[in-house]
Amino acid sequence: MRKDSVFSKTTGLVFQIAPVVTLSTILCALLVIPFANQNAVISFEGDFVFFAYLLAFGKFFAIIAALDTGSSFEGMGANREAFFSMLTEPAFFILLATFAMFTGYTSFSDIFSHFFITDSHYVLIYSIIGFFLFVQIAMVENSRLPVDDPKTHLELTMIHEVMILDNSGFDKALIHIGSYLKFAIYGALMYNVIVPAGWNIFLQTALFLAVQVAFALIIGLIESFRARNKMNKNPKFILTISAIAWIAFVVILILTDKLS
Amino acid sequence: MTLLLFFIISALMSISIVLLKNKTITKVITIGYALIHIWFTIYCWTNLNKTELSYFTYNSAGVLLLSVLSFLTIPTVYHGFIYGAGDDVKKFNIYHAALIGLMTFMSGAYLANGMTVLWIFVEATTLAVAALIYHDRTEMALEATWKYVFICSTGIALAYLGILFLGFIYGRGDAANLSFASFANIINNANPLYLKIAFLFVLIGFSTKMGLFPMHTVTIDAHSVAPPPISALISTTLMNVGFLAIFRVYTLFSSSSILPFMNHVLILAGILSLLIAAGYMLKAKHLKRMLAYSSLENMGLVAIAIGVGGVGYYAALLLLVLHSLTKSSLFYQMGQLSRVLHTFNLDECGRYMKLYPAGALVLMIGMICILAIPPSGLFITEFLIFKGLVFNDQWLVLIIAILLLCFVIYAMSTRILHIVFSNPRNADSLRLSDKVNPVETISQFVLLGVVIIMCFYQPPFLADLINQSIALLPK
Amino acid sequence: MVNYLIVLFAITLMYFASAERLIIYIRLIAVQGLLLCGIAIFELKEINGANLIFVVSETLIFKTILIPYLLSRIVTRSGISKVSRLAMPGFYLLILSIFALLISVILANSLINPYINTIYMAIALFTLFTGLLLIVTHKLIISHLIGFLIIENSVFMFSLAVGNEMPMLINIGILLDIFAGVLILGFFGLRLKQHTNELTMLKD
Repeated sequence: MRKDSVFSKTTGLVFQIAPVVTLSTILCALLVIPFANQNAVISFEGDFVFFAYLLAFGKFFAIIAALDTGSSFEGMGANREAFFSMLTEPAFFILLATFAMFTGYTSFSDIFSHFFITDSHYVLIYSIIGFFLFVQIAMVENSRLPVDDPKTHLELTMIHEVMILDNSGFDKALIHIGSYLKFAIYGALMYNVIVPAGWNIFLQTALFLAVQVAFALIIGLIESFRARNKMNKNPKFILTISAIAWIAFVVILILTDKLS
Repeated sequence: MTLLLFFIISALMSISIVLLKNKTITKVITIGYALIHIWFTIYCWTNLNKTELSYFTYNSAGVLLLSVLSFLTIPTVYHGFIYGAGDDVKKFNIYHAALIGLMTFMSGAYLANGMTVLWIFVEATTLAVAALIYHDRTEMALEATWKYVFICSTGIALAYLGILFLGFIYGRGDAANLSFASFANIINNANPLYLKIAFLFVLIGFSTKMGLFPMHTVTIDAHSVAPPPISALISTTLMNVGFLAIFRVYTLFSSSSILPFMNHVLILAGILSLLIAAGYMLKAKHLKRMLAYSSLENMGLVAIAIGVGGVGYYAALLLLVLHSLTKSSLFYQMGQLSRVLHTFNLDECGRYMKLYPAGALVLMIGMICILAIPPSGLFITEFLIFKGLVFNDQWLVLIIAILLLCFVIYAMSTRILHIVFSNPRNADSLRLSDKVNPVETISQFVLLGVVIIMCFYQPPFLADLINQSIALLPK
Repeated sequence: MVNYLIVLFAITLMYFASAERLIIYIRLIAVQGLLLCGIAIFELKEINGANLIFVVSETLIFKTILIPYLLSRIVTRSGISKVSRLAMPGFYLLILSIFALLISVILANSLINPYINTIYMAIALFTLFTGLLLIVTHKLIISHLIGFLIIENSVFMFSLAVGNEMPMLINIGILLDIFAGVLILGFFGLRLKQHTNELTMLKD
């Protein structure tokens, strides 16, 4: 007898396939991210929308799997998770819209390969804004502090944890691997925003690893030094990220003299 | 030269009242100021359309409203003396110094010929009125003063934005010279969107002073808390200042393409003012608040009149003049009512006819006049407004306005008839009333008499002045 | 250089919508005064020296030092909470603020004028909307005062935009500022007692 996944009697097909769907959407989303001035495996016009909605598709399955269990706790967690994802979505899109407007292309590969080529002094500002916003978005999307505490055992304050309460065994492993991969994806995006795409390939690989490690350090530091927000302050906190993204958009409109 | 003299004398009088701590001297100086003001108005009548100090012109609309102010100075001063008979010297002096300041600033605002000077004087009136509203030093007075100062300042800032937008149209050049005459040449080439925005800002900003829809709330509170002679002044002549500011900008823009837009906006603001006045007056329990809502209703009618155009312009100015006379007499009566019944609360007032017949008669006649029931002069103006609406085929506006006016008539007449004839609803609140001399009501009868006479006969000098004021508007 | 200052100004405005403590509001007002002073120095190159010194010193003294000082005295003296109380949840204020920025950018694009720079128009309109939003959504008198100060900053910024051609308009705008500062803060702010921090007495 080996340890196996346990499925509750109230669940159906959706609950059993949801973790697989989540992981597969994340793996597909991986294929869109470029590296080192090459094209990504899948690359087409407007692929960042594809990317965002692939991740949303995976999250959707997680949510309906949580509803499928018939537990009200999981329903509550699903509700909060959906709400917070809705609040960060504008942040991501406005940020990418800024990049698209500034470089003139709409595909990840083209945006990042032309990011540092354009001849303006403001690129450093974009990089820093992009980096900061990606850190915040990653924090919210992966359900980390200060939005959600992965170690909490108080069920009424869980957001993501409560959705996966009923999963066990291999499925739970898939969900956790998905979360790690999402971190790696955001780390890759951050890397692309900071490091110019034309440099030496070995230097780029080394910098990639360094950026991922630095990202992990940053998340660790934030988690160690912040407490979890009060639940009713969370929406405002998350919406502030979108507000910052929107301000960044207007700032860049101003600085590039497009606003006249 | 005369104008400068007038301002200097007013300033000296005001300062000397504050410095000399004697009530009798204050009374003498204030009466002297009233006489000087009347003399100044007569001087303006004889020198129509002359420009002095390069920022002030004795134009017809300004002189018309200035005459109304002059007509009201003597009753205000007289009732102010009676009201302040029990005050200590410092409060009395501040009251009268601020009163002189208020009347001077209002005169300056009437006669200003440019937007910025008008704006400065309107801002100055806010200061003077604040000192006057706070005269009673109660908590309610403090709250009303704070609200008044704050919202009027916000309104002034918005009106300044409107002036800035006008300045953007003017472009380069010496913009301190923003006189209305110099604007008239360039209005036709201006971007209509800018004109619309400037008009909207000016309307919203000066609606705090005029008491029209967007920012009327502050005037309601101020009129219900201020001392009755001051309420009489600010709910009539100060609202005329706000109207004049909006009217000047309207006249300026009336030759451009945004005239239909302005008319629509004014009619909308007027209807909403009527709606709010009717709604709240049905609930009003405080007498002065009820009268304040009646002012709101009349200002709404004035806005509708301007929006209608044609015969409505004449009706608007006539309505302003007659409303000033009627409303002020009602407010003076409120001063006496407070001494007879010791309360403004509707539930505790009653049997006024028994206690003070002269005052009750004033209330009844004043009610008939302000509700535009013939033989009141306001009936003529409302009739002209309705005629204008019918000419323009604006049936919906007409029906809504008439319906709301019916509510207003019902609300006000039930309240005043109740006070005058019935017993108070709270039977235990009959207090001993002061003996009030019926002689004090003479001023109010005179004012109401003028209004009633105007229903039948409008003197040619008045009609001429009004026609001159609206000469620039499209027919 | 002016563009950077205007950008920082816009950031302080968005900060107003998400901040919760009154002390932060006061500090933001001081920062705005400093930024406006900087914008005045860099923008008004064509007006004569005395006028420029007057404008810059007035901005520095009034907006940056005197008014925040008076405001902080009011806050400590009245002992009201450090948290501003809203008439609606703070979440909606942030959404409205985002929409205000959107509307002001769109309006500025449609109101193109040869005399005024579009950036000034957009940010000044945003300032106006933020001030109005603060007044409408807050219940405390101090917050209303701060909203009014923001509206004044908006007027000042508008007049700066055309200041090179019409210096008189800036001076009159400063007059408004001094009037409001002295009267509102000096007289009434220091006299308002603790329980009149919400205006609840005069109503129907």
